[in-house]
Amino acid sequence: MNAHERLEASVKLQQLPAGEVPVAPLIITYTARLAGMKQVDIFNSVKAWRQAVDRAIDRIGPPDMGFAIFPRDVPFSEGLHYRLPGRDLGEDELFQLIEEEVMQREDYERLQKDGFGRWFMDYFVRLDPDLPAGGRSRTIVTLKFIRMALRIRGNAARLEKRGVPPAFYGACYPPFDFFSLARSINQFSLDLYDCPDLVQKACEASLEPTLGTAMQPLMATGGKRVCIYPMRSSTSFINPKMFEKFALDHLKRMAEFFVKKGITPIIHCDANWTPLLPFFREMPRASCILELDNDTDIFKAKEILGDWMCLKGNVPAQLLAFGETGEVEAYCEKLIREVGRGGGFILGSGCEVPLNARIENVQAMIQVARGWGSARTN
Amino acid sequence: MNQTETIFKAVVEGSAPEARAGVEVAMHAGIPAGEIMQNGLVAAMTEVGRRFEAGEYYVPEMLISARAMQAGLALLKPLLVQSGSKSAGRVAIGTVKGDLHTIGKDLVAIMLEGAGFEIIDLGTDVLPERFVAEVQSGNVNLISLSALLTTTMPAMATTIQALKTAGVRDKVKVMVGGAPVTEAFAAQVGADGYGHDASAAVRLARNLVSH
Repeated sequence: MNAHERLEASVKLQQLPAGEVPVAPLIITYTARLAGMKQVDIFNSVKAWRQAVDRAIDRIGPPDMGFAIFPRDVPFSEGLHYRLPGRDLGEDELFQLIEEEVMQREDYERLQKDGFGRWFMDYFVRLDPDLPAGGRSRTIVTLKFIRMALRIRGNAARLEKRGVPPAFYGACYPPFDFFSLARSINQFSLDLYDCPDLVQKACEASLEPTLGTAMQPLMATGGKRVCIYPMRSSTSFINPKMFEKFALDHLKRMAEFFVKKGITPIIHCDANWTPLLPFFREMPRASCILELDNDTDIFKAKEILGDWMCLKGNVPAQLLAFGETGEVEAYCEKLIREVGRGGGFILGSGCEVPLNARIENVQAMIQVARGWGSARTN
Repeated sequence: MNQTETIFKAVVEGSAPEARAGVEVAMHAGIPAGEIMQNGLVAAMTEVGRRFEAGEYYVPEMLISARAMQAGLALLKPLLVQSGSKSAGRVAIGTVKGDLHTIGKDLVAIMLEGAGFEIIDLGTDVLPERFVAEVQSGNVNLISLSALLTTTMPAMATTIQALKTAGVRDKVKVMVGGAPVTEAFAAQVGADGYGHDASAAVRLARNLVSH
Protein backbone atom coordinates (compact mmCIF):
# COMPACT_ATOMS: atom_id res chain seq x y z
CA MET A 1 0.00 0.00 0.00
CA ASN A 2 1.15 3.56 -0.52
CA ALA A 3 0.64 6.39 1.95
CA HIS A 4 -2.50 7.68 0.23
CA GLU A 5 -4.08 4.24 0.43
CA ARG A 6 -3.15 3.80 4.09
CA LEU A 7 -4.61 7.17 4.97
CA GLU A 8 -7.80 6.66 3.00
CA ALA A 9 -8.38 3.23 4.52
CA SER A 10 -7.84 4.65 8.00
CA VAL A 11 -10.31 7.48 7.45
CA LYS A 12 -12.83 4.87 6.27
CA LEU A 13 -12.14 2.85 9.44
CA GLN A 14 -10.88 -0.16 7.54
CA GLN A 15 -8.60 -2.73 9.14
CA LEU A 16 -5.17 -2.56 7.58
CA PRO A 17 -2.73 -5.42 6.93
CA ALA A 18 0.36 -5.85 9.09
CA GLY A 19 3.01 -3.20 8.56
CA GLU A 20 0.54 -0.74 7.06
CA VAL A 21 -0.34 1.32 10.13
CA PRO A 22 -0.07 4.92 8.95
CA VAL A 23 2.40 7.00 10.89
CA ALA A 24 2.64 10.79 10.72
CA PRO A 25 4.45 12.66 13.46
CA LEU A 26 3.65 16.36 13.21
CA ILE A 27 6.98 17.74 12.02
CA ILE A 28 7.33 21.33 10.88
CA THR A 29 9.98 23.21 12.88
CA TYR A 30 11.67 19.93 13.88
CA THR A 31 12.54 19.46 10.21
CA ALA A 32 15.58 21.69 10.80
CA ARG A 33 16.90 19.35 13.50
CA LEU A 34 16.57 16.36 11.23
CA ALA A 35 18.30 18.22 8.42
CA GLY A 36 21.16 19.54 10.54
CA MET A 37 20.00 23.12 10.02
CA LYS A 38 18.98 25.96 12.30
CA GLN A 39 15.49 27.41 12.69
CA VAL A 40 16.60 30.64 11.02
CA ASP A 41 17.57 28.66 7.90
CA ILE A 42 14.13 27.12 7.37
CA PHE A 43 12.31 30.31 8.28
CA ASN A 44 14.19 32.56 5.89
CA SER A 45 14.44 30.54 2.72
CA VAL A 46 11.89 28.39 0.88
CA LYS A 47 14.79 26.68 -0.91
CA ALA A 48 16.44 25.81 2.41
CA TRP A 49 13.10 24.60 3.73
CA ARG A 50 12.64 22.27 0.78
CA GLN A 51 16.16 20.92 1.20
CA ALA A 52 15.47 20.39 4.88
CA VAL A 53 12.30 18.45 4.10
CA ASP A 54 14.19 16.18 1.73
CA ARG A 55 16.92 15.52 4.28
CA ALA A 56 14.37 14.94 7.03
CA ILE A 57 12.55 12.34 4.95
CA ASP A 58 15.87 10.64 4.18
CA ARG A 59 16.76 10.63 7.88
CA ILE A 60 13.65 9.09 9.41
CA GLY A 61 12.11 7.37 6.42
CA PRO A 62 9.05 8.73 4.65
CA PRO A 63 6.13 9.26 7.02
CA ASP A 64 2.57 9.01 5.73
CA MET A 65 1.96 12.76 5.93
CA GLY A 66 4.23 15.74 5.50
CA PHE A 67 3.74 19.44 5.89
CA ALA A 68 3.59 21.68 2.88
CA ILE A 69 3.39 24.97 4.75
CA PHE A 70 6.56 27.08 4.74
CA PRO A 71 7.46 27.62 8.42
CA ARG A 72 7.49 31.40 8.13
CA ASP A 73 3.85 31.29 7.04
CA VAL A 74 2.79 29.50 10.23
CA PRO A 75 3.11 32.43 12.66
CA PHE A 76 1.93 34.84 9.97
CA SER A 77 -1.34 32.96 9.52
CA GLU A 78 -2.05 32.45 13.23
CA GLY A 79 -3.35 35.97 13.67
CA LEU A 80 -1.19 37.12 16.57
CA HIS A 81 2.05 39.03 16.96
CA TYR A 82 5.04 36.74 16.95
CA ARG A 83 8.78 36.48 17.46
CA LEU A 84 11.00 34.83 14.89
CA PRO A 85 14.35 33.02 15.13
CA GLY A 86 17.22 35.15 13.93
CA ARG A 87 15.13 38.31 14.04
CA ASP A 88 13.80 38.49 17.59
CA LEU A 89 15.13 35.28 19.07
CA GLY A 90 18.29 33.22 18.91
CA GLU A 91 18.95 31.68 15.52
CA ASP A 92 17.96 28.22 16.62
CA GLU A 93 15.08 29.07 18.97
CA LEU A 94 11.48 28.15 18.31
CA PHE A 95 9.27 30.91 16.95
CA GLN A 96 6.67 32.04 19.43
CA LEU A 97 3.30 33.72 19.37
CA ILE A 98 2.64 36.56 21.77
CA GLU A 99 -0.53 35.90 23.71
CA GLU A 100 -2.15 39.30 24.06
CA GLU A 101 -5.35 41.13 23.21
CA VAL A 102 -5.31 42.29 19.59
CA MET A 103 -9.01 42.21 18.75
CA GLN A 104 -11.13 44.64 20.76
CA ARG A 105 -14.66 44.07 22.00
CA GLU A 106 -15.89 46.68 19.48
CA ASP A 107 -14.65 44.40 16.69
CA TYR A 108 -17.57 41.98 17.16
CA GLU A 109 -19.92 44.61 15.77
CA ARG A 110 -17.36 46.08 13.41
CA LEU A 111 -16.90 42.82 11.56
CA GLN A 112 -20.64 42.47 11.07
CA LYS A 113 -20.85 46.05 9.76
CA ASP A 114 -17.79 45.87 7.48
CA GLY A 115 -18.22 42.26 6.45
CA PHE A 116 -15.93 39.56 7.81
CA GLY A 117 -13.70 39.48 4.71
CA ARG A 118 -12.75 43.14 4.91
CA TRP A 119 -12.51 43.06 8.70
CA PHE A 120 -10.22 40.00 8.58
CA MET A 121 -7.82 41.71 6.20
CA ASP A 122 -7.92 44.90 8.31
CA TYR A 123 -7.13 42.75 11.33
CA PHE A 124 -4.00 41.39 9.67
CA VAL A 125 -3.04 44.92 8.62
CA ARG A 126 -3.35 45.87 12.29
CA LEU A 127 -0.87 43.14 13.16
CA ASP A 128 1.78 44.45 10.78
CA PRO A 129 3.64 47.49 12.18
CA ASP A 130 4.88 48.37 8.67
CA LEU A 131 1.42 48.64 7.14
CA PRO A 132 -0.80 51.72 7.56
CA ALA A 133 -4.56 51.19 7.69
CA GLY A 134 -6.34 51.23 4.36
CA GLY A 135 -7.23 49.47 1.15
CA ARG A 136 -3.70 49.26 -0.22
CA SER A 137 -2.55 47.48 2.91
CA ARG A 138 -5.48 45.07 2.69
CA THR A 139 -4.33 44.24 -0.82
CA ILE A 140 -0.81 43.59 0.44
CA VAL A 141 -2.14 41.22 3.09
CA THR A 142 -4.31 39.46 0.52
CA LEU A 143 -1.23 38.97 -1.66
CA LYS A 144 0.62 37.49 1.32
CA PHE A 145 -2.12 34.90 1.73
CA ILE A 146 -2.05 34.13 -1.99
CA ARG A 147 1.70 33.72 -1.86
CA MET A 148 1.30 31.37 1.09
CA ALA A 149 -1.15 29.26 -0.91
CA LEU A 150 1.21 29.15 -3.90
CA ARG A 151 4.07 28.03 -1.68
CA ILE A 152 1.85 25.30 -0.26
CA ARG A 153 1.10 24.17 -3.78
CA GLY A 154 4.79 24.00 -4.71
CA ASN A 155 5.79 22.29 -1.47
CA ALA A 156 2.90 19.85 -1.77
CA ALA A 157 4.02 18.80 -5.23
CA ARG A 158 7.54 18.10 -3.98
CA LEU A 159 6.22 16.05 -1.07
CA GLU A 160 4.04 13.99 -3.40
CA LYS A 161 7.11 13.24 -5.54
CA ARG A 162 8.71 11.77 -2.42
CA GLY A 163 5.63 9.65 -1.80
CA VAL A 164 4.60 11.71 1.19
CA PRO A 165 1.09 13.14 0.96
CA PRO A 166 0.72 16.61 2.47
CA ALA A 167 -1.16 16.46 5.76
CA PHE A 168 -3.44 19.24 4.56
CA TYR A 169 -3.61 21.87 1.86
CA GLY A 170 -5.47 24.54 3.77
CA ALA A 171 -6.43 25.30 7.35
CA CYS A 172 -8.91 27.38 9.30
CA TYR A 173 -10.00 28.24 12.79
CA PRO A 174 -13.66 28.07 13.72
CA PRO A 175 -14.65 31.69 14.41
CA PHE A 176 -15.07 31.02 18.13
CA ASP A 177 -11.49 29.86 18.42
CA PHE A 178 -10.07 32.64 16.32
CA PHE A 179 -11.80 35.22 18.49
CA SER A 180 -10.50 33.52 21.62
CA LEU A 181 -6.94 33.79 20.29
CA ALA A 182 -7.36 37.32 19.02
CA ARG A 183 -9.09 38.69 22.14
CA SER A 184 -6.77 36.75 24.47
CA ILE A 185 -8.17 34.04 26.71
CA ASN A 186 -8.70 36.46 29.60
CA GLN A 187 -10.76 39.00 27.65
CA PHE A 188 -12.64 36.41 25.62
CA SER A 189 -13.64 34.51 28.74
CA LEU A 190 -15.13 37.72 30.09
CA ASP A 191 -16.87 38.35 26.73
CA LEU A 192 -18.62 34.98 27.02
CA TYR A 193 -20.25 36.22 30.20
CA ASP A 194 -20.52 39.93 29.50
CA CYS A 195 -21.77 39.87 25.90
CA PRO A 196 -22.60 36.31 24.81
CA ASP A 197 -25.10 37.37 22.15
CA LEU A 198 -22.55 39.66 20.55
CA VAL A 199 -20.02 36.83 20.42
CA GLN A 200 -22.52 34.41 18.92
CA LYS A 201 -23.68 36.84 16.26
CA ALA A 202 -20.10 37.63 15.31
CA CYS A 203 -19.29 33.92 15.10
CA GLU A 204 -22.28 33.28 12.86
CA ALA A 205 -21.41 36.20 10.62
CA SER A 206 -17.88 34.86 10.25
CA LEU A 207 -18.53 31.19 9.53
CA GLU A 208 -19.31 31.21 5.82
CA PRO A 209 -16.55 33.65 4.91
CA THR A 210 -14.12 31.52 6.95
CA LEU A 211 -15.11 28.45 4.96
CA GLY A 212 -14.81 30.38 1.72
CA THR A 213 -11.30 31.54 2.61
CA ALA A 214 -10.28 28.02 3.63
CA MET A 215 -11.42 26.67 0.26
CA GLN A 216 -9.12 28.92 -1.73
CA PRO A 217 -5.84 26.99 -1.29
CA LEU A 218 -7.79 23.74 -1.61
CA MET A 219 -9.16 24.83 -4.97
CA ALA A 220 -5.76 26.14 -6.05
CA THR A 221 -4.07 22.82 -5.24
CA GLY A 222 -6.87 20.31 -5.77
CA GLY A 223 -6.02 19.10 -2.30
CA LYS A 224 -8.40 16.84 -0.44
CA ARG A 225 -7.52 17.48 3.20
CA VAL A 226 -8.05 20.54 5.36
CA CYS A 227 -7.13 21.22 8.98
CA ILE A 228 -9.67 22.70 11.37
CA TYR A 229 -8.19 24.12 14.58
CA PRO A 230 -10.69 24.35 17.45
CA MET A 231 -7.80 25.36 19.70
CA ARG A 232 -9.78 27.13 22.39
CA SER A 233 -12.99 25.08 22.59
CA SER A 234 -11.69 22.29 24.78
CA THR A 235 -12.54 21.96 28.46
CA SER A 236 -9.06 23.27 29.20
CA PHE A 237 -10.53 26.65 28.24
CA ILE A 238 -14.33 26.54 28.46
CA ASN A 239 -16.99 24.47 30.20
CA PRO A 240 -18.88 21.80 28.25
CA LYS A 241 -22.11 23.83 28.29
CA MET A 242 -20.30 26.72 26.64
CA PHE A 243 -18.90 24.34 24.05
CA GLU A 244 -22.44 23.21 23.25
CA LYS A 245 -23.78 26.74 23.15
CA PHE A 246 -21.03 28.53 21.26
CA ALA A 247 -18.79 26.11 19.41
CA LEU A 248 -20.36 22.73 18.63
CA ASP A 249 -22.75 23.78 15.90
CA HIS A 250 -20.06 25.56 13.92
CA LEU A 251 -17.58 22.72 14.29
CA LYS A 252 -20.20 20.31 12.95
CA ARG A 253 -21.13 22.60 10.09
CA MET A 254 -17.49 23.08 9.14
CA ALA A 255 -16.85 19.33 9.09
CA GLU A 256 -20.03 18.70 7.08
CA PHE A 257 -19.18 21.47 4.61
CA PHE A 258 -15.81 19.99 3.75
CA VAL A 259 -16.96 16.38 3.73
CA LYS A 260 -19.74 17.26 1.26
CA LYS A 261 -17.04 18.59 -1.06
CA GLY A 262 -15.04 15.38 -0.80
CA ILE A 263 -12.47 16.96 1.49
CA THR A 264 -11.30 15.21 4.65
CA PRO A 265 -11.10 17.47 7.71
CA ILE A 266 -8.34 16.87 10.20
CA ILE A 267 -9.83 18.26 13.39
CA HIS A 268 -6.74 19.19 15.39
CA CYS A 269 -7.78 19.13 19.03
CA ASP A 270 -5.11 20.21 21.48
CA ALA A 271 -5.70 20.14 25.24
CA ASN A 272 -8.46 18.24 27.05
CA TRP A 273 -11.35 17.07 24.90
CA THR A 274 -12.17 13.95 26.89
CA PRO A 275 -15.54 15.20 28.25
CA LEU A 276 -16.55 16.36 24.75
CA LEU A 277 -15.71 13.21 22.80
CA PRO A 278 -19.33 12.03 22.44
CA PHE A 279 -20.13 15.17 20.45
CA PHE A 280 -17.90 13.99 17.62
CA ARG A 281 -20.51 11.32 16.87
CA GLU A 282 -22.61 14.20 15.55
CA MET A 283 -20.08 14.69 12.76
CA PRO A 284 -19.97 12.70 9.53
CA ARG A 285 -19.01 9.09 10.08
CA ALA A 286 -15.81 7.63 8.60
CA SER A 287 -14.97 10.95 6.98
CA CYS A 288 -12.79 12.93 9.40
CA ILE A 289 -9.56 12.56 11.34
CA LEU A 290 -9.57 13.58 15.00
CA GLU A 291 -6.05 14.55 16.02
CA LEU A 292 -5.40 14.49 19.76
CA ASP A 293 -2.55 15.33 22.07
CA ASN A 294 -1.92 13.63 25.39
CA ASP A 295 -4.24 15.89 27.40
CA THR A 296 -7.14 13.90 25.93
CA ASP A 297 -7.56 10.25 26.82
CA ILE A 298 -7.12 8.70 23.38
CA PHE A 299 -8.03 5.26 24.72
CA LYS A 300 -11.37 6.67 25.88
CA ALA A 301 -11.68 8.25 22.43
CA LYS A 302 -11.33 4.78 20.92
CA GLU A 303 -14.13 3.47 23.16
CA ILE A 304 -16.45 6.31 22.23
CA LEU A 305 -15.46 6.97 18.62
CA GLY A 306 -13.73 3.82 17.42
CA ASP A 307 -16.58 2.97 15.05
CA TRP A 308 -17.11 6.58 13.99
CA MET A 309 -13.99 8.59 13.41
CA CYS A 310 -10.34 7.99 12.58
CA LEU A 311 -8.10 8.91 15.50
CA LYS A 312 -4.59 10.34 15.22
CA GLY A 313 -2.02 10.82 17.95
CA ASN A 314 -0.77 11.03 20.59
CA VAL A 315 2.85 10.31 21.50
CA PRO A 316 3.58 13.08 24.04
CA ALA A 317 6.14 15.79 23.40
CA GLN A 318 7.67 15.09 26.81
CA LEU A 319 8.23 11.45 25.88
CA LEU A 320 9.81 12.33 22.56
CA ALA A 321 12.11 14.86 24.26
CA PHE A 322 13.01 13.17 27.53
CA GLY A 323 11.96 9.54 27.22
CA GLU A 324 14.06 6.50 26.46
CA THR A 325 13.54 4.96 23.03
CA GLY A 326 12.18 1.81 24.64
CA GLU A 327 9.49 3.88 26.35
CA VAL A 328 8.51 5.50 23.05
CA GLU A 329 8.35 2.12 21.36
CA ALA A 330 6.23 0.68 24.16
CA TYR A 331 3.76 3.57 23.99
CA CYS A 332 3.52 3.39 20.19
CA GLU A 333 2.85 -0.35 20.41
CA LYS A 334 0.16 0.24 23.02
CA LEU A 335 -1.45 2.87 20.80
CA ILE A 336 -1.45 0.64 17.74
CA ARG A 337 -2.66 -2.35 19.69
CA GLU A 338 -5.49 -0.59 21.47
CA VAL A 339 -6.40 2.51 19.48
CA GLY A 340 -5.54 0.89 16.17
CA ARG A 341 -7.57 -2.24 16.88
CA GLY A 342 -9.89 -2.77 13.93
CA GLY A 343 -8.42 0.14 11.99
CA GLY A 344 -9.20 3.85 12.03
CA PHE A 345 -5.91 5.00 13.52
CA ILE A 346 -2.92 7.06 12.44
CA LEU A 347 0.06 6.96 14.78
CA GLY A 348 1.10 10.53 15.45
CA SER A 349 2.69 12.88 17.92
CA GLY A 350 0.70 14.87 20.46
CA CYS A 351 0.80 18.13 18.53
CA GLU A 352 4.16 19.18 17.08
CA VAL A 353 7.33 17.18 17.65
CA PRO A 354 9.37 19.47 19.92
CA LEU A 355 12.74 20.85 18.89
CA ASN A 356 14.48 18.86 21.60
CA ALA A 357 12.93 15.53 20.63
CA ARG A 358 15.56 12.82 20.44
CA ILE A 359 15.91 11.78 16.82
CA GLU A 360 16.00 8.10 17.72
CA ASN A 361 12.62 8.53 19.42
CA VAL A 362 11.06 9.99 16.29
CA GLN A 363 12.67 7.24 14.21
CA ALA A 364 11.20 4.72 16.64
CA MET A 365 7.68 5.93 15.86
CA ILE A 366 8.18 5.22 12.15
CA GLN A 367 9.88 1.88 12.80
CA VAL A 368 7.21 0.61 15.15
CA ALA A 369 4.46 1.43 12.66
CA ARG A 370 6.28 -0.11 9.72
CA GLY A 371 7.22 -3.16 11.71
CA TRP A 372 3.79 -3.72 13.21
CA GLY A 373 2.65 -7.25 12.75
CA SER A 374 6.17 -8.66 12.77
CA ALA A 375 7.22 -11.26 15.35
CA ARG A 376 8.55 -8.50 17.60
CA THR A 377 5.34 -6.60 18.02
CA ASN A 378 2.74 -9.35 17.91
CA MET B 1 -26.65 36.36 55.39
CA ASN B 2 -23.95 38.46 57.01
CA GLN B 3 -21.87 40.93 55.07
CA THR B 4 -18.86 38.71 54.41
CA GLU B 5 -21.21 36.00 53.20
CA THR B 6 -22.71 38.52 50.79
CA ILE B 7 -19.22 39.28 49.46
CA PHE B 8 -18.46 35.56 49.28
CA LYS B 9 -21.58 34.92 47.20
CA ALA B 10 -20.88 37.84 44.88
CA VAL B 11 -17.34 36.65 44.15
CA VAL B 12 -18.30 33.00 43.67
CA GLU B 13 -21.08 34.06 41.31
CA GLY B 14 -18.75 36.43 39.47
CA SER B 15 -20.55 39.71 40.07
CA ALA B 16 -17.95 42.46 40.26
CA PRO B 17 -20.47 45.26 41.05
CA GLU B 18 -21.97 43.25 43.90
CA ALA B 19 -18.56 42.28 45.25
CA ARG B 20 -17.44 45.88 45.24
CA ALA B 21 -20.68 47.07 46.83
CA GLY B 22 -20.44 44.33 49.43
CA VAL B 23 -16.91 45.32 50.40
CA GLU B 24 -17.97 48.97 50.62
CA VAL B 25 -20.84 48.14 52.96
CA ALA B 26 -18.61 45.90 55.07
CA MET B 27 -15.96 48.61 55.38
CA HIS B 28 -18.55 51.19 56.44
CA ALA B 29 -19.94 48.73 58.94
CA GLY B 30 -16.51 48.68 60.56
CA ILE B 31 -15.69 45.06 59.82
CA PRO B 32 -11.89 44.73 60.01
CA ALA B 33 -10.18 44.66 56.62
CA GLY B 34 -8.44 41.39 57.36
CA GLU B 35 -11.75 39.74 58.18
CA ILE B 36 -13.37 41.04 54.97
CA MET B 37 -10.37 39.73 53.07
CA GLN B 38 -10.20 36.28 54.65
CA ASN B 39 -13.88 35.48 55.19
CA GLY B 40 -15.16 37.24 52.08
CA LEU B 41 -12.66 37.37 49.25
CA VAL B 42 -10.18 34.61 50.06
CA ALA B 43 -12.88 32.21 51.20
CA ALA B 44 -14.74 32.83 47.96
CA MET B 45 -11.72 32.18 45.77
CA THR B 46 -11.00 29.02 47.76
CA GLU B 47 -14.52 27.88 46.91
CA VAL B 48 -13.90 28.82 43.27
CA GLY B 49 -10.77 26.69 43.34
CA ARG B 50 -12.73 23.80 44.84
CA ARG B 51 -15.36 24.06 42.13
CA PHE B 52 -12.64 24.18 39.46
CA GLU B 53 -11.05 21.00 40.79
CA ALA B 54 -14.49 19.37 41.03
CA GLY B 55 -15.09 20.15 37.35
CA GLU B 56 -17.94 22.55 38.08
CA TYR B 57 -16.02 25.69 37.18
CA TYR B 58 -13.73 26.19 34.25
CA VAL B 59 -11.41 28.97 33.13
CA PRO B 60 -14.12 31.55 32.28
CA GLU B 61 -15.83 31.06 35.65
CA MET B 62 -12.50 31.44 37.44
CA LEU B 63 -11.81 34.64 35.55
CA ILE B 64 -15.13 36.30 36.23
CA SER B 65 -14.87 35.39 39.89
CA ALA B 66 -11.32 36.73 39.91
CA ARG B 67 -12.58 39.97 38.36
CA ALA B 68 -15.15 40.24 41.12
CA MET B 69 -12.50 39.54 43.74
CA GLN B 70 -10.20 42.16 42.27
CA ALA B 71 -13.03 44.71 42.26
CA GLY B 72 -13.48 44.17 45.98
CA LEU B 73 -9.75 44.03 46.68
CA ALA B 74 -9.15 47.36 44.95
CA LEU B 75 -11.32 49.03 47.59
CA LEU B 76 -9.86 47.04 50.43
CA LYS B 77 -6.14 47.31 49.69
CA PRO B 78 -5.47 50.73 51.25
CA LEU B 79 -7.20 49.56 54.42
CA LEU B 80 -5.20 46.35 54.48
CA VAL B 81 -1.95 48.31 54.20
CA GLN B 82 -3.08 50.74 56.89
CA SER B 83 -4.00 47.98 59.28
CA GLY B 84 -0.67 46.23 58.71
CA SER B 85 -2.48 43.16 57.54
CA LYS B 86 -0.06 40.49 56.41
CA SER B 87 -0.43 38.67 53.14
CA ALA B 88 -0.32 34.90 52.88
CA GLY B 89 3.10 35.31 51.29
CA ARG B 90 4.93 37.15 48.54
CA VAL B 91 5.33 35.32 45.25
CA ALA B 92 7.49 36.13 42.27
CA ILE B 93 5.89 34.44 39.29
CA GLY B 94 7.05 34.23 35.73
CA THR B 95 7.34 32.15 32.61
CA VAL B 96 10.93 31.02 32.27
CA LYS B 97 13.57 32.25 29.87
CA GLY B 98 12.78 31.65 26.22
CA ASP B 99 9.08 31.06 26.80
CA LEU B 100 6.41 33.64 25.97
CA HIS B 101 3.32 31.77 27.12
CA THR B 102 1.21 33.66 29.63
CA ILE B 103 -2.13 31.90 30.05
CA GLY B 104 -1.17 29.38 32.70
CA LYS B 105 1.03 31.81 34.56
CA ASP B 106 -1.72 34.43 34.60
CA LEU B 107 -4.29 31.97 35.93
CA VAL B 108 -1.97 30.90 38.72
CA ALA B 109 -1.22 34.54 39.59
CA ILE B 110 -4.93 35.34 39.72
CA MET B 111 -5.71 32.39 41.97
CA LEU B 112 -2.75 33.09 44.26
CA GLU B 113 -3.88 36.70 44.61
CA GLY B 114 -7.33 35.44 45.43
CA ALA B 115 -5.81 33.31 48.14
CA GLY B 116 -4.28 36.37 49.76
CA PHE B 117 -0.78 36.18 48.31
CA GLU B 118 1.01 39.28 47.12
CA ILE B 119 2.10 38.79 43.53
CA ILE B 120 5.16 40.14 41.76
CA ASP B 121 4.49 39.20 38.16
CA LEU B 122 7.77 39.17 36.28
CA GLY B 123 6.08 38.40 32.97
CA THR B 124 7.45 36.05 30.37
CA ASP B 125 10.90 35.14 29.09
CA VAL B 126 12.29 35.80 32.56
CA LEU B 127 16.01 35.40 33.05
CA PRO B 128 17.15 33.39 36.08
CA GLU B 129 18.94 36.49 37.38
CA ARG B 130 15.64 38.33 37.77
CA PHE B 131 14.27 35.67 40.04
CA VAL B 132 17.53 35.72 41.98
CA ALA B 133 17.31 39.50 42.34
CA GLU B 134 13.83 39.28 43.82
CA VAL B 135 14.99 36.78 46.42
CA GLN B 136 18.15 38.76 47.20
CA SER B 137 16.14 41.89 47.84
CA GLY B 138 14.18 40.02 50.49
CA ASN B 139 10.99 40.62 48.55
CA VAL B 140 9.66 37.10 48.18
CA ASN B 141 9.39 33.83 49.99
CA LEU B 142 8.03 31.82 47.06
CA ILE B 143 8.91 31.57 43.39
CA SER B 144 6.50 30.14 40.81
CA LEU B 145 8.00 29.06 37.49
CA SER B 146 5.92 28.30 34.41
CA ALA B 147 7.00 26.62 31.17
CA LEU B 148 4.82 25.57 28.27
CA LEU B 149 7.47 24.08 25.98
CA THR B 150 9.70 21.04 26.47
CA THR B 151 12.53 23.19 25.09
CA THR B 152 12.13 25.79 27.85
CA MET B 153 11.64 23.36 30.75
CA PRO B 154 15.43 23.15 31.27
CA ALA B 155 15.34 26.86 32.16
CA MET B 156 13.57 25.81 35.35
CA ALA B 157 16.67 23.83 36.32
CA THR B 158 18.87 26.77 35.31
CA THR B 159 16.84 29.14 37.45
CA ILE B 160 17.05 26.87 40.49
CA GLN B 161 20.78 26.46 39.94
CA ALA B 162 21.13 30.26 39.75
CA LEU B 163 19.44 30.52 43.15
CA LYS B 164 21.94 27.99 44.52
CA THR B 165 24.92 29.77 42.98
CA ALA B 166 23.76 33.06 44.49
CA GLY B 167 23.50 31.38 47.87
CA VAL B 168 19.79 32.09 48.27
CA ARG B 169 18.19 28.76 47.45
CA ASP B 170 17.40 28.10 51.10
CA LYS B 171 15.68 31.48 51.45
CA VAL B 172 12.84 30.67 49.10
CA LYS B 173 10.50 27.87 48.07
CA VAL B 174 10.20 27.09 44.38
CA MET B 175 7.14 25.63 42.68
CA VAL B 176 6.84 24.75 39.01
CA GLY B 177 4.05 24.06 36.56
CA GLY B 178 2.96 24.14 32.93
CA ALA B 179 1.46 21.70 30.46
CA PRO B 180 4.55 19.54 29.73
CA VAL B 181 5.88 19.70 33.31
CA THR B 182 5.45 16.69 35.59
CA GLU B 183 5.93 15.84 39.24
CA ALA B 184 8.93 13.73 38.29
CA PHE B 185 10.50 16.61 36.40
CA ALA B 186 9.92 18.95 39.32
CA ALA B 187 11.76 16.56 41.61
CA GLN B 188 14.54 16.12 39.06
CA VAL B 189 15.25 19.86 38.84
CA GLY B 190 15.11 20.37 42.59
CA ALA B 191 11.83 22.26 42.84
CA ASP B 192 9.92 22.13 46.12
CA GLY B 193 6.66 21.26 44.44
CA TYR B 194 4.62 20.89 41.28
CA GLY B 195 1.14 22.27 40.66
CA HIS B 196 -0.83 20.62 37.86
CA ASP B 197 -3.30 23.48 37.60
CA ALA B 198 -4.00 26.90 39.10
CA SER B 199 -6.09 25.57 41.95
CA ALA B 200 -3.51 22.95 42.91
CA ALA B 201 -0.87 25.70 42.77
CA VAL B 202 -2.72 27.62 45.49
CA ARG B 203 -2.83 24.60 47.80
CA LEU B 204 0.82 23.95 47.13
CA ALA B 205 1.76 27.58 47.77
CA ARG B 206 -0.09 27.61 51.11
CA ASN B 207 1.64 24.39 52.07
CA LEU B 208 5.09 25.60 51.06
CA VAL B 209 4.97 28.95 52.87
CA SER B 210 3.67 27.40 56.05
CA HIS B 211 6.73 25.12 56.30
